[in-house]
Amino acid sequence: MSESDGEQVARSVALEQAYVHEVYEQCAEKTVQSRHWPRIYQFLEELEPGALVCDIGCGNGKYLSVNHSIFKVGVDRCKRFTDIAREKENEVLICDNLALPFRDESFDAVLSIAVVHHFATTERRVHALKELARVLRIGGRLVISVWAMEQKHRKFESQDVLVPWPKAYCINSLSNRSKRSSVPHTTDLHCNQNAQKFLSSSKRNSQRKCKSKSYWIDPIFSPSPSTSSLSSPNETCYSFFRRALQKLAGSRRGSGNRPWFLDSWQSGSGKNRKDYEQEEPPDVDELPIELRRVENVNVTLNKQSDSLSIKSKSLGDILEIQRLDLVRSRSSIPGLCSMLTSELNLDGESRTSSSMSGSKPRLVKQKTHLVDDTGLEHPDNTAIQELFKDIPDFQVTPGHYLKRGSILKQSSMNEELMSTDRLEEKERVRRNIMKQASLNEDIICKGKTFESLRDSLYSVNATKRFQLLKSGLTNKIKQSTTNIEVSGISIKNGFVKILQGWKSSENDTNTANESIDEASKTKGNDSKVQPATTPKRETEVIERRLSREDGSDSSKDSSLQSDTSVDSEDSFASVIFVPKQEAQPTTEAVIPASGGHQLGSISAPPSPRVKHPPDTPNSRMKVISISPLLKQFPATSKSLPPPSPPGLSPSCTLNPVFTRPFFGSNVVASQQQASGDNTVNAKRTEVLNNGYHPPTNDDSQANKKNIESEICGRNNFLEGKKPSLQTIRAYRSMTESLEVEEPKTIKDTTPLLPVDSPDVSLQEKGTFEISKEEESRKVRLNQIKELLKQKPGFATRTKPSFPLVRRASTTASGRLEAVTKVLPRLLSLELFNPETDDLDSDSSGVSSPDSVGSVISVISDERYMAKKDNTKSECTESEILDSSAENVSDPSDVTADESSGYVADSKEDETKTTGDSSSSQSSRLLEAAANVASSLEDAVETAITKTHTKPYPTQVAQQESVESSAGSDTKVKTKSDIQLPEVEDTWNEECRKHLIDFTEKLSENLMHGLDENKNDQNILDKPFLSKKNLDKRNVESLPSYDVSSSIPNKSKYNDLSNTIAWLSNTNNGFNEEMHRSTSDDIMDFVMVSNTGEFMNEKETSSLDKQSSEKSYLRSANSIGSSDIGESIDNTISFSDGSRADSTGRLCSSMMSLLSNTNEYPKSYAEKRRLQLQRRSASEETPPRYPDNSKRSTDCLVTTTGSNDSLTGSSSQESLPSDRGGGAITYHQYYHVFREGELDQLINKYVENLHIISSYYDHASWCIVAEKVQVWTI
Amino acid sequence: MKLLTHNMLTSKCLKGVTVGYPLGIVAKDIKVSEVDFNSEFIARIIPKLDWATLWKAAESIGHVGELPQTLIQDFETNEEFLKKVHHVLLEVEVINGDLLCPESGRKFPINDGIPNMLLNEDEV
Repeated sequence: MSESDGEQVARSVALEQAYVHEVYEQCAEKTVQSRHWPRIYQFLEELEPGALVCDIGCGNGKYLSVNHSIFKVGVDRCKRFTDIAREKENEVLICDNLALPFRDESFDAVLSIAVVHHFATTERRVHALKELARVLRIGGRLVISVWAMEQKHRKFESQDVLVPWPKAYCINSLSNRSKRSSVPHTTDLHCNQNAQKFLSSSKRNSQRKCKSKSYWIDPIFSPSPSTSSLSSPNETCYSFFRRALQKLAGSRRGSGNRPWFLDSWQSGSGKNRKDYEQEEPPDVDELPIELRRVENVNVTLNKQSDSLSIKSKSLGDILEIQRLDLVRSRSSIPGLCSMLTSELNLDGESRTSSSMSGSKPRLVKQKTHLVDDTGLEHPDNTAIQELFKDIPDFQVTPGHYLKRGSILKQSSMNEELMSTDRLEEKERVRRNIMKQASLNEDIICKGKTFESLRDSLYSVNATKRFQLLKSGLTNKIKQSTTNIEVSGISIKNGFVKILQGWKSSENDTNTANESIDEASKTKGNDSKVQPATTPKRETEVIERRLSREDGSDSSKDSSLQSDTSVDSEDSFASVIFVPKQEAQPTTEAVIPASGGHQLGSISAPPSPRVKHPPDTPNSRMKVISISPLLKQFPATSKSLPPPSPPGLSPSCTLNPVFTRPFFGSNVVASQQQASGDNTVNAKRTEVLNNGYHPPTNDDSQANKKNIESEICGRNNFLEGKKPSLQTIRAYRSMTESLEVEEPKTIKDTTPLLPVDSPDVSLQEKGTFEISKEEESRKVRLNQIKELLKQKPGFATRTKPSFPLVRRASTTASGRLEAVTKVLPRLLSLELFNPETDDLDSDSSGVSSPDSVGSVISVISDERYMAKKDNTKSECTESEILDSSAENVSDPSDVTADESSGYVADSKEDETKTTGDSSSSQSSRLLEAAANVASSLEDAVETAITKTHTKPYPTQVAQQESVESSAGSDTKVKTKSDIQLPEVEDTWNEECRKHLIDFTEKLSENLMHGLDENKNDQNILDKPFLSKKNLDKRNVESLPSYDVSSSIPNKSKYNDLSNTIAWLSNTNNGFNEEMHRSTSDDIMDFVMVSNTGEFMNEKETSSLDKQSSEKSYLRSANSIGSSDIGESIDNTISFSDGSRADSTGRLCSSMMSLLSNTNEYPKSYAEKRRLQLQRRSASEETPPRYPDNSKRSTDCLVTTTGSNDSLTGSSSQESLPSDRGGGAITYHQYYHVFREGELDQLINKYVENLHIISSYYDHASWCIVAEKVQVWTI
Repeated sequence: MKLLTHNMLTSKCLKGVTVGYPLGIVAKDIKVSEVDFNSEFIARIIPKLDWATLWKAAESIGHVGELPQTLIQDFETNEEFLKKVHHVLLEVEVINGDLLCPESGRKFPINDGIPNMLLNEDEV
């Protein structure tokens, strides 16, 4: 099998490329600065001044700043690492350990920390060591550390292992150490823990110095390498491998863990599949959950290949079998095969085998996602997913593997099994990035119109491809496995989601999508209006794309970083996020022309995310898509979701949900359709937001950019709304920088909406099973409608926005349309991210899949609600401002004046209010604001969709909704009135600053906290009733909340509580409230942020009230809410500064808790409580930011809302990424060294190195060697 | 990339290149920053340098200043000389540009101060 050395080398190179270099490139930024290893630090400190030191594999350069009297050059093969090290004023360069670009004997000391273990063959390891020795001067010292096979927490069955990027249990230690890697990096392990173990070993080491060479070498290396020059360890590896296989087989039978490996090897290629499927669930759980997967994963790559070629046939056979299986799978599923091959890079052959692969990279990605979904359905991990993929392949065709090299096959096998997801994600991300970059450039260079045209053209092809892929994947999946059948829907949904996501992105960029959506929606008026807005949108879209691209890149980086810092799961999540963003832009460019297809493409970006959702995508999708509805349906979704993998499920679920609601809406009533569209838009926006948010979390800068863009987008939304209200000027003046982004966001949002409709159509096509979903959707829609009716505030608010927008589009200026469009997009963006994140996090398997789904839905809802509220409040404010001072260049001044005048009145009038006096303009503005807010709310409530459905179908309903929205706005305003309007001026600046700060701060703490919160929220959302319950809880919690939080903001809280009560009471009398609120709003700009959050709560409370009528569980919820309220209070108390955010979060948590208590079993409640506690902890950190922003920029309620939403989204994103990351974990190749192996290598092959000391430290074997002059006679 | 680093770089890892030293510098962006002067450090570094290469490199990027083409004998005690060397070695950085292999003409790009010395598989 091994054949020529060249093949072996190629294989080892490919292996290292895929499992070392790529992983570092992806995860470099995630690594955290770890502590110096004391011995290394001491070594550097003891060097004489003026010494020249080269750190081979410097990683992030932690040893480059140790001793300032020596000159250090850091070298790493990973560009990202060098960039990081360079930022620290270090001298670095990029090179390979095997080809060091230095003169001979030029360094006084050389460090090789955690590098040599990344080389795949003994020859390469020796070569690396010789290179190290070459550049070292005579008498110079060399420090080498390699991972030890003997570790306390990890037991390696084989020396060649694929280790998942640091996961949970070793996160801390790993993240710290992982920083450095040149060619490889250091995946640290539990070094410290191991240290104890090796005290004894160190003692031995001291002895080794004397004995070392012969002593150690003999046992390990006894076998002589016959064929390979450096064959020494081969036999041991083989024996280990065999032992490991045997153990695995035995363990598998007993535990059922990781059976697939053993089965495949033991039984052979074909039969195992079914077994795998059956066993997969348990296996998957264990594999993904346990980092030790590495052990199972341990695939002897090079050695195995070598051994195969040289000695052990059994291993070779195994490898061959694997290869065969892989090949078969590929042949059977061309798309998948192409995906795998493309990802693997290793197999050129595989690509050739899959004729389709070349032309359909995107499709392949999607397919992989689908596969992932199926895998997810079963349970849990990427490994399972991979297995699934492999399994079908195996069954279908056993044929091509013979051609491929054993090593390649192995690598492919390993990659597929272990890292197919990773590879796919990476490739996707890269492609997306490339595509995005290209798209951006194209867009920028060529112009808006051209872009739209291109998009349209691309979109057609993309849509076709997507359709083909969908059909093929779905069919394949269905056929392949029973589980697959179940997942088939999910897959379809996932495709749809992906397509939607892509489309949404594309739509954002292009107006064509909008037009399509409009057409699909049968909104002739809107379509007319849209064209006018489209040009603006295009420009905006372009800008957005740029920002998105930046964000995506950053997201990628951040994802990687986060992964390293948090866990392997994080990495997955991050990876997923990146692809989404990238995928979106790429898909956008491609798909824009075809609305329906574009929608599908839009869904594609989320697909990576979809991988994470363990539960069935459908269920998640439903929940997510119809946040309100979802709440009602959670139970159903829960039942379905568990099998589906988390990652894929979210995006997929989202798309299906959208499609389902649309279908259902179409069938049921035009209103429902409208609602469905709205929900879809909201979902899309959510998805988009999620995607954006993750990036923000990732890189601080990138995050900042993303956040800024997001914020801008939000601001833009607000602004856009305002402009529609004629207050645009003021807002623009306020947020000049934001304006640019805002238009983009607006454009994006607008396209998303149209896209939704096409998506729906697409979804309809693909949704065989959707009928059930549709039914559920219909039910949900009905429920939502009822809820909306009952709860005028929400429904009206949400509805009005859409109707208003439509009206504006039809009757009014294009601004309104643009605004409305923008809003949906923004919403969609936000929604997407959190949902996907949530799903991802769920999929990660941290919590039960159910919790994930629920969490996602809840979080999104709550957050959305909050966002909506904020937006509404902002809108109202803006409207008010506009009405008060249309020409106000400085809205803050006008608002302040007005607010000052109004404040007193508003305070008194808040509850009383009968201000019908609001002028037509003000009313319009209010309506627009209401529309905007409603749109935002709708996005938040996308799950609710009810509101959406209503506004679309009936203008009257829209008007009503507008009124209701106005009422809600007024309420919000009243709430906001409590606070000072002064903040308004600082609003923009503060918002920006806050956004930046948020982005930075959110990074880790926020990410975790938000993730937790999101999860919790999602969990809460799972129960369908949870919404109502949540509302009730919120209402209940509000009072307690007020009490607890009242300490600092007592007045505000009281006011809010009053306003809430008032609002709840005046559900019907929104108009009056609207007037009052408008006046109040002006005053309350600053307050708005805080109030916005409160408003959210209030709104929820009002909704709760409405829902309470309908909700059965309210009483129970109330009980739970009391507890929750307490917990919330606690959390609130923690985050005094960040009251609004914390409160919003608390409310959400409360909601979730309530919902949990009501709907979910006690266990859920407990989990939620735990989550809430976590949240509270996590929230504490995030709220601070919002608090600051709120305090500083209270006037800019929108900003705070955006911040909140951003924080929420970011947190959600981060959280899902972390949790979801588990599925997509990156695996790194290690050759773990046995005790004395490194010594033997040096002694045997590197003559001019004399080992001075050998010791065990940080789970690694460390050697200090001195270069000596070797005299050859 | 500081000139001190350049003094150690070769392209001998390229297939067919035996010496690959010194690498030519095509500097597009050069940054001059201030680095703390340590006379002992510089005095200990100088013997490890290829002086001719350093001088040529400094000249090629226009920062040779008053450095003598040949190393002076009493550099260890010549504070001014050490400072000049310090400036050239540590304070002058090539941010963007290329390194040229003297034998094959292969270009190694320098981006953001980071030379990329990676080779293609067929170059090893």
